[in-house]
Amino acid sequence: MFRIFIILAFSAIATFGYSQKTITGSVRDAKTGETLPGVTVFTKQSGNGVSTDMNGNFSLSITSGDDSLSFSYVGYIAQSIATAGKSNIDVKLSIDSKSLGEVVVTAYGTQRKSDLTGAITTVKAEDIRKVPASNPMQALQGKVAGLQVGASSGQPGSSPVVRLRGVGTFNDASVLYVVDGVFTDNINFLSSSDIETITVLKDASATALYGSRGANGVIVVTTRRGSANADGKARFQFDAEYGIQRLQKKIDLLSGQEFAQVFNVLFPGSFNNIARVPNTDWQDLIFRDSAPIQTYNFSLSGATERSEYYFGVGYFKQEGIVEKSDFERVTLKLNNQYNLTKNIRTGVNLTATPSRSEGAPNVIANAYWAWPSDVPFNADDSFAEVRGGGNPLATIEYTNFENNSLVSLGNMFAEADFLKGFTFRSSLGYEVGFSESTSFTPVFFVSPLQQNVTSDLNKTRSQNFNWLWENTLSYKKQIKKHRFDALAGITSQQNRSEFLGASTQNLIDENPDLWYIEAGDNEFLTASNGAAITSIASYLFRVNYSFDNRYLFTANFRRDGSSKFGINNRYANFGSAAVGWNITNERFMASTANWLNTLKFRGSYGAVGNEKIGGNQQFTLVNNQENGVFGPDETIATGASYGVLGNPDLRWETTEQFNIGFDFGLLDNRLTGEVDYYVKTTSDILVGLQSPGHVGNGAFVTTTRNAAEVRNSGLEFTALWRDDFDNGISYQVGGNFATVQNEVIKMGRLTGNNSFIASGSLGNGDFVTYTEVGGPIGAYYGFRVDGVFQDEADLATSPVLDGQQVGDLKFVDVNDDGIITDADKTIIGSYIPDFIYGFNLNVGYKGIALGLDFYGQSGNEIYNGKNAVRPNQNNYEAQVNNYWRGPGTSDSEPRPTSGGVNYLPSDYFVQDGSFFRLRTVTLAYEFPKRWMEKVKVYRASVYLRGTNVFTISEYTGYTPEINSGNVLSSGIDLGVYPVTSVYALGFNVTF
Amino acid sequence: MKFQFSIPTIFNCTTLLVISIALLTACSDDFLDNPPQGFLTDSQFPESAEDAQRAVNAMYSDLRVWQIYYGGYPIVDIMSDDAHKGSNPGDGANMTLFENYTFGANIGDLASWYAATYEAIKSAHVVIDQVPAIQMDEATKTRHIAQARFLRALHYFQLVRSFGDLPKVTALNPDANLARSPKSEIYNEIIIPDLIFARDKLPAKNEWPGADLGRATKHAAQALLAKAYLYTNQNQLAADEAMGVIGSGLYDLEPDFSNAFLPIGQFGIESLFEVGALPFGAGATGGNQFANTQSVRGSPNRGWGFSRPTLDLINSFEEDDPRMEATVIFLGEVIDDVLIEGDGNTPDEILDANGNVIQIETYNQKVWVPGTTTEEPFGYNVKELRYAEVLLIAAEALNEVGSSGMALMELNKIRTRAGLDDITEMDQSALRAIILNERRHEMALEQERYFDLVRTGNAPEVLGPLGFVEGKHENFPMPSSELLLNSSLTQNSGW
Repeated sequence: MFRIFIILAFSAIATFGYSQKTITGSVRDAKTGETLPGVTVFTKQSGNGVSTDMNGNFSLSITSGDDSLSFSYVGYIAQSIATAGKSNIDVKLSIDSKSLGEVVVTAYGTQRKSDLTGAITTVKAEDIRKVPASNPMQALQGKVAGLQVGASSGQPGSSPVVRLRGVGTFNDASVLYVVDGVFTDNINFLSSSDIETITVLKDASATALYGSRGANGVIVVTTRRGSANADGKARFQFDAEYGIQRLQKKIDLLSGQEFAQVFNVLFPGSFNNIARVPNTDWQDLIFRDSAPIQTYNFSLSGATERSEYYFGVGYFKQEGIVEKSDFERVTLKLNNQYNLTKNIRTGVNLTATPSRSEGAPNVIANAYWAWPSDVPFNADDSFAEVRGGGNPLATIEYTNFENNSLVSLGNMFAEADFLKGFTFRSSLGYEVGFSESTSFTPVFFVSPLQQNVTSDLNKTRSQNFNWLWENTLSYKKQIKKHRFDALAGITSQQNRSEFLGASTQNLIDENPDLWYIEAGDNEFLTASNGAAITSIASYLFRVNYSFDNRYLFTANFRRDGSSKFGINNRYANFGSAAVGWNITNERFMASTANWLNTLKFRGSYGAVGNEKIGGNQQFTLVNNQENGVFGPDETIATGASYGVLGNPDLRWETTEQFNIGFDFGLLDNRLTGEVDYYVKTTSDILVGLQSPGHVGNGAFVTTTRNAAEVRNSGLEFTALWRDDFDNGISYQVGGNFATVQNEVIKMGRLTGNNSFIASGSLGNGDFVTYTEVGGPIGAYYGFRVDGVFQDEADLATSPVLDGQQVGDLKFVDVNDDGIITDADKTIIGSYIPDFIYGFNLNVGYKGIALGLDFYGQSGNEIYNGKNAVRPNQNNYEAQVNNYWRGPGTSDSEPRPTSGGVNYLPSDYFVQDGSFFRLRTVTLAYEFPKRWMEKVKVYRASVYLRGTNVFTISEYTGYTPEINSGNVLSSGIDLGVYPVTSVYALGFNVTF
Repeated sequence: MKFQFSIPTIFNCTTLLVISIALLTACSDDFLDNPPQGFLTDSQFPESAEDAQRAVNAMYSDLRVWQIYYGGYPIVDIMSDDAHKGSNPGDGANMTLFENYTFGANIGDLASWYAATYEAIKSAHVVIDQVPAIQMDEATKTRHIAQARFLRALHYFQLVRSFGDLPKVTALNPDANLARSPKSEIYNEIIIPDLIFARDKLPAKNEWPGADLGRATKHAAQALLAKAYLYTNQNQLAADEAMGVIGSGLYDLEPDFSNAFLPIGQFGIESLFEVGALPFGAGATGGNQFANTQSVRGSPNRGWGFSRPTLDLINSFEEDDPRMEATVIFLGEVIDDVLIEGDGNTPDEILDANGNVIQIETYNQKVWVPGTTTEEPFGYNVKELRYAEVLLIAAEALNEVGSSGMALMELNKIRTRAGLDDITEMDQSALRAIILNERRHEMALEQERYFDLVRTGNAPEVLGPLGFVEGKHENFPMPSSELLLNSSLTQNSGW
């Protein structure tokens, strides 16, 4: 690629010399009047071109055929001026606010997009509001190359699993969110309508200023602010949306009569009259036909000379498609800024969010397993005994869980400009969270296996308080072609959290008014309580330098001191350097300026950290409750002694990332895009390693040490084409595509019994994931299946596992030793997709807009754990109808069994998790301005929207979105709450 | 952290910045010092007399850890001619490897047994290393340290007779790459000096306040010292120490053999050292899974049913030895009004290829706790040292030093309690065999048989048919995970 541009450059130089007439002039910024150096001036006809000098002046010879001069400059709207009769042309260029001139939010500041050297993607408000969900991150699915957003569950109020550029740790891999300058782990307390932009910082250059917290990527959320309106008035905005959620699809299970037939194979004679066996569809019984989802937002905003204000209040309510799983939330947002003097500003940004959620009854897997041949109710309308895990309807009836929480986050800041180019800013941010939950199970009896003998009550309280004080000094300076800015800062942060839980049994009454610990039986009272305090003190520096808008340079440095570090490694340094080259601003590119508007190369390298580890692992803690038992009556004598040895050498995981990329704009910037390639290596990953027995840590105990290494690499591509037809139709087509390759490079010396981590517990004793060197993190691990044993001869001549019979799955003898043992288990899949992609199409015509967003991922697998786990005889998925029933009948579906060898971890349970989905389709109509003016409305629009309209996938479960926050065991479906489709009608009015 | 904010000062931003830098640097070291909440750390404990008491109590908690000594099942009984793996055939399949002597150094059970025992040693070192510096009553302090040294000796004794040469850890925070010290050094530099110290400094059973019943005593230390001498062929010393215990007059045999194991005999006249436990889950609530592992499986549901008494053991008893019935639970038996039906998934009989019965479903009656629930056996007190064993040690040691007459006196106390005829054999060699056999019947399923056969050189003959290989199975292997983790560690011969 680079070579091509050199050739182009030479050919551009070679075209000089056909001059007949010279035109001189200057180019200035239309708004500030400053001269603009480096602007490309060229003729479309002959292709001659020059760049403006340091003072914004140019002189260009043109030939007779050249009837116009074009002026183009990164970040500004290009202009074309007729040359006829002119020898001097003075041009004023305006900043192109809609594309590359845009200002992009970066770490601790903003930057012109054209000056960026890091890999940063911005998502705008209109895209964030497209998906009706409690967590704004849901809207980012398919929007940002390299950002994977997957629902962890369809339960109302649940937060998605967000992974940026793969998974680089065995611990918490979630991104860092920065909301109004305050660091947080989740943004589920924000209403989409209060968000202005979400900026995704991907590479080390973009994230290095977040130091020890940037390794998993950083997402900076900017909330809406007041701005001056043309009429000087305040703006009222009201949005309402009402939608219904529906189950996307049902799982194809055996009907009651089919089940009876299969069951009779297992236990002959169990069902004597198949025709009279009931066909209960448990999915129909536990899922509601539809469940409403509603959003209402009101905001008031504006600005005066002295102040800017934004006030928003929102209400969100999502009912569950399973009863007792509702979520509702109120959001309050206040962003005010006061300009005390011309140079001094102060302000507050506040968010407060109370919410309430019910803990969905745990019936999804239950409905899957429950016998379809059993009925839900007895003749007297009481709950009937249901085999296969109990009666799901009774479980719903007797589940009572409610969580109430309040989250508030915000900051106060003051900012002063002084001397020339200096700004000092001090900001005090905070986040408080309070959460309380109550769970109550009454006394009930459905069957011997489904009953509760004494009532149970559990209460939990958790709270955290987090403050952050940041002081930064920044400096901006432009000397001729040299543009320079620098930032230095000192920040300190402390986080305190506490948990209190209590439980009791046998309440004096079951009335909700008595759901308090004091109403219970003291004999059963238990309590737990703990707390943690962590703090960080940091120093940060950044320098940006650009020369002539062509050469860009950025360096970042952050020094973090953390209480989580071992005492021997209290401070750590993180940093990055990046360069950029706006090739299109080079003189030699003048000849291509007629079609190539922007081309910028970027490259960065740096190191950032992951601090999401427990705070106490550096210490040898004293374990309380190591009690002796003494005396003739045998009583407890309380004891305490040293627990697992602390690791005072503990330090943070470090991710080194190398990123190269380029941005392009073609054909009057109708086609724009970005390409990035990265290699991200995380070393010193914290992993639990055994220590020698004689050290005294005990059996099965591992201690946390910095040992493992993981590499992620990938290619990301984003492109957008937008244009208007002459007939008034405007359209745009965009897409993004990202690959990720994840590989474990090192595991440390000894983890578990060998150098691997087994995880992915199915809850029945089987572990189905395996993290080892050479494979991806959390790979599925089990036997490979090669058909079904067709007959005794087949069985006799094949390697077998103890207990296998004809009709059972035939496992592959991976190590060729003639028998099937655990040593034949191998990697059989991965939850990490090979690539993810999204694309969108928007068409507009006279106020009518149609938008479609698609999302897909490919190459990942799902472990259908709910099918593998057979706690007792359960219902089956429909393919069991094709079971092996004699030689030649089936080579894929084994004979029906209720447990045993066919349910050992194998690729029989691994399914393709690739999917392609119409994420949203929106048809909107904006009422014409002239109508609205009559009714004193500024803007008004209505829309219809479908979300998750269709999902194409081979997966047999409700949804192929099976994600868990645990990087070592994701993609295992043990009965996840289904993600729904939503059909909504909404309107916006602004006064 | 102070936060000051006022309009006038903000004008002088550079000053503020300088101040804030000063503030931050000044306090940053304290600021980053966040002690764990709800936990003390090793630098803060033990500091007081109360702390010292807690550290001492914690050592006894380690004795209830399931993996300690022989991995709960208990492995050394399953390896002896006294017991099979037990339970149903599919359960705890790893244990079959021990029963057949086909296990390798990589088996996890060994690593966890080894690690759990060293964890208990660490708790003893918390006391031995840290308590001396505490300002407190010196007599109490000495008593604390003496308990710690008794327990350290007990742990090392169990380790050394199982694994042979060992990393010799004598203080907290040992080097992770510690090489092994010879077996003799473990005896001579840790076990024996610790036990002499404990014998001299610990109160006798009747000198402890009642509430402290169950703590290490002078005579428990003396009895273990006798055993350690016996294991190191210092027979005269062994005899002297054993006779010291006998001469104390504080101990005797329970009139009824069964009572030595039942709740009625807890901390009783025959008990030199046992591990107090309560019928709750394992851990802080005081339970011990030892008996749960071995108790009757099925109906009544008391446990898992491991360590099944063998037909060989059953048939080896003299015809009217009541200890057989007291040691073995048979199906159909009624104990304390509870009918033993056993486990449906466990075959009542196992036949060999020729149709001979080679195993029957039986259970270890020594861990029987009256009752029918699964929880009650968690309250079973493991008997680490019984007076009966002291008599047997005395008999054996006396016979070895040529005092067979005196040996018979002690041996026949055991015989008398069992209602059996006195032994009159005076020939040293013949009496040696009789004493070994008496040990088998008195102490069946008490984790002694395998070690007795090894130390007396009878293992190849008796255990050979089960898979015992001479020159190899005298010691357990160093767990292979330990060899990976500790680069200085060497493997035992034969492994």
